[in-house]
Amino acid sequence: MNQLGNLEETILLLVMIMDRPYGYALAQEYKEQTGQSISISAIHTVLMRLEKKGLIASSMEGATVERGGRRKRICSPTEEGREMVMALRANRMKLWGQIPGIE
Amino acid sequence: MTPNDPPKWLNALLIWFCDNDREEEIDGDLLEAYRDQRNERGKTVADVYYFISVIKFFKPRFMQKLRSTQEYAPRFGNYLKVAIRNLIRYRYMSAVNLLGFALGLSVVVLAGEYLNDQLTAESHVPDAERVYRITRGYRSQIYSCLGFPQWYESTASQQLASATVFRELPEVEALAQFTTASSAIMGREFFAEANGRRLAESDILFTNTPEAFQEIFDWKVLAGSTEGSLTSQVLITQSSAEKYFGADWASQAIGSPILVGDANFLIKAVIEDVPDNAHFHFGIAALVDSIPYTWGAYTYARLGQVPGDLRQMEEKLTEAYFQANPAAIDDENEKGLSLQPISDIHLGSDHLYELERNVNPFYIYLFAVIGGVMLLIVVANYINLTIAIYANRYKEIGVRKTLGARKGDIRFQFLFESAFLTLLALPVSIVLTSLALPYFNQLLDVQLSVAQLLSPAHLAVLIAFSLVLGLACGLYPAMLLSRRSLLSLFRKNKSAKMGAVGLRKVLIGVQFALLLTLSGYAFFVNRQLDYVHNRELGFDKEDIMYFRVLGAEKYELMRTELLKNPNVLAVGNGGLPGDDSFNTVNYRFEESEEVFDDANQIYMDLASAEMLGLWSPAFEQLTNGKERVLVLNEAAALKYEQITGNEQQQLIGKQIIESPQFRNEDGTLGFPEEVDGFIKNFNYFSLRQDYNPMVIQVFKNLPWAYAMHVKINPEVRFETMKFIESTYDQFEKERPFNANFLENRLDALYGNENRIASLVVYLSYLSVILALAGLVGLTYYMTKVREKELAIRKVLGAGIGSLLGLMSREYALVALVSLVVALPVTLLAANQWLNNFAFHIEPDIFSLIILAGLGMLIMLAGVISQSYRTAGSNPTEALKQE
Repeated sequence: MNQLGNLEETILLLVMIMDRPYGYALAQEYKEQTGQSISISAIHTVLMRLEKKGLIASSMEGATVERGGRRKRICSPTEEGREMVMALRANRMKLWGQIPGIE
Repeated sequence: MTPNDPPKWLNALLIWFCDNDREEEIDGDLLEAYRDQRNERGKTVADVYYFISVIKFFKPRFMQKLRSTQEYAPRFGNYLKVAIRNLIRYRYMSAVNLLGFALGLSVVVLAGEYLNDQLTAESHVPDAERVYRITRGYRSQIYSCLGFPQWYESTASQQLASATVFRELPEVEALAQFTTASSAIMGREFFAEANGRRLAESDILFTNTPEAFQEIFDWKVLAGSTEGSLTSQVLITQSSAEKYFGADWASQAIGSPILVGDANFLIKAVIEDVPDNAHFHFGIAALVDSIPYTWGAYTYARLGQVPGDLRQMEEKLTEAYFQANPAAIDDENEKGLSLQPISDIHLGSDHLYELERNVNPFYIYLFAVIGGVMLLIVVANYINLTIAIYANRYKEIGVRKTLGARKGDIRFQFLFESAFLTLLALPVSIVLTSLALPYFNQLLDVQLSVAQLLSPAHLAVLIAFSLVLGLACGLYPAMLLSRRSLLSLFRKNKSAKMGAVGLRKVLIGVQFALLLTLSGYAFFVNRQLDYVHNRELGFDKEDIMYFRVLGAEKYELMRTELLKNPNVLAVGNGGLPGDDSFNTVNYRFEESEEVFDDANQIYMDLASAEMLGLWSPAFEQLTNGKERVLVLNEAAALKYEQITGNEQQQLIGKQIIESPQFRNEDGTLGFPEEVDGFIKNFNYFSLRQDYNPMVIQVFKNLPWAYAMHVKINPEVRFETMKFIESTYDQFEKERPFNANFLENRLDALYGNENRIASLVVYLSYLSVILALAGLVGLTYYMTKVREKELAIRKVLGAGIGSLLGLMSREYALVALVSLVVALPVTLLAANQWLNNFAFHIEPDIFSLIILAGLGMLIMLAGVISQSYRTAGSNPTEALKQE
């Protein structure tokens, strides 16, 4: 069973949340959601790892003028990715639920 | 509105190191980020953030990986197929390139082998770095041999006097002495007889230190052995053994008796032939107690180790020499002994009385340089031609790129193609080289063999070099091709803007300049040799035969016999021009105390002088009863005027004192002689030497004889020669008849120069043909490319003449610039060589310009021949497609 770092988990969640996630957009969303800024290189590193672990898939599409005609790498979660997220949530809920005094 | 862009160089850097698969998205993301930043925070901040981001991507995980993309997986098979297909499609160009490579490689191979052969002279001698020849400084000259205490009259132990003392020095490991029959200090031939065959031999060596001789030079024994007693034995080389004993020498030769001159020997061993690049050669080495017919010997020492201070070692040797030759101690002329490393001899050692004429290293390097020039021409040719052809392959490259090929793949493909061509050229060049080898060997007087060429080590170097050549040639075209953007490859723009026409012109210009330099140099070298051959030397050289005769009596008898034949016009005796340098003498004029040592002393009889057309008013005294006159040449007379300030006429009647430091028995100093007159300067030695003072003593009859000169009637040459030979054989039984003509002797002085002159001319021809072929091919394709342009011009009314002019004009300017560049270089190079001669031509710019004009005409003819077809064709042909 793959272990997932904190950042990896966050990014994976963002990928599942966003419509057509790619490097720059993810970085901006991350900043908005967590208040932390993150470098493009870090995003790409994580995306590469996630893809290597088989949790997301990607394809090149969507060149725009703003990007000088360069395409984006659009990521989407794989089945495994979805399962992983669910399993993580389940695990977390279980642990959280056992803390006395939390609803 | 122009969008904001990040700093270009950062972007370029990113693209360079970034892995191609990720390049696009990273570049795009960073661009978006940059633009947002710039809008919000301004340019400076955006730039800084961009810089940081790029740095952050400078990590191994993002970097260019060494693997092909999945979609485009080229196999060698594909490249090979395409390469061959293209070679066939552009047959003419490919042939020219292939030939060019083959020729270039051949020249490189020959030059390389030659260099290797010459620079590794004496490599067959073990520990050659510790082996030295002992030379002697005397007056201002250096002798390559050491004299015996009593010269010709030395006894066996006297001959070994110096050797014995040298051997006692602790640093000397071994010491050998020998003299060869062909060397200047012995200079005679012998008859050798073995196994019933009697042959004239000049390659005989005598050594009175046989054990050391074998030890130092380590001759490889093929049959027999060098153990045991070595006196009265000979070592015989394989070729000589074959001469006397036939193919069966291995069993027959050992222990057989052999007669050398008038002494009997036994054959002790058969050894390998002496390598051609050694500085001395022999066919028979006679091991004796006392070396006959010589006044000295060549002395070699092997030291225990390379001396830390050479000077010191030389001084020790000099001391030892004085020990063995006490007479030399008081001689002011003795300048001491020196050690000459044995490997330095073959390459241009030019001391007195060298064993053989040695090769001048200048020519060896010159050959290499010329080979390099030719190679450059080949490369320029290749680049020009391929760039022209590649213009037609844009679509192919476009398709490949669409399929996923990256720049590196394209580059690789074209490098592969050029390397492929050179490797193809390799067997062709080997064949060419093998065919040329016998002529080459003859031309440069070496003995390279095909086996040597094909030895694994040499072959490996050759293959490696071919690859390097192919890659070097293909580099520029490959870079050029891979750089073009995908879309431009598919555009119909055929105006061949590939690499800019400028480059093509530069390449042609470079080729032309190189050609000009090469042929200009060849031109001047040959001009000089013509000059040397035809120049008035101050004496008559035609139809004079000469050969050795020993003894005044024998000479007299032969002379009388010979003169009976009306076709024998004159018989003389004494010194003959065309000699290598020999020792000078010390002298001073009666009126001055200053002693000089730059004069040569010549003796000849009146008949010789007349035969050579030399004349001085003083000779008349010989017909009036005087037995001998002494004349000085102009150079000597000028010296007298300089020193004494008197007119040269005043010298007549006064004395010139030779060897003025020599103390005679009666206490007087030197040998005073009265000067009887003067004679014009003439070139006694090679034209490399300037006139030096000469003291010429002309006798009515010389009291001794070493040689005989015979002037013969040129119309009956052959019969007269036979007559002379048979007369000789009547009187001389022991020495073979070995005659030569004075003209040949004079030509032989310039052996080195003659060889290199021929070589340079051949290479020039080759280069011109090559460049011409290249230019023709280039023009052909260029005109094809400009077909439409030319057709339109024609339709608009241009005549053929103006169209031809259009094509040629561009190149005319190039040729002019090349001329201006090549001119000074050629003149410089030519002058440098010409200064080896005291008497030489002056290279003139005019000849070079004519040569360049000739070259341009040839090139023009080539260009026109191709343009004509296009210029003269029907314009509708070219414009049909539109």
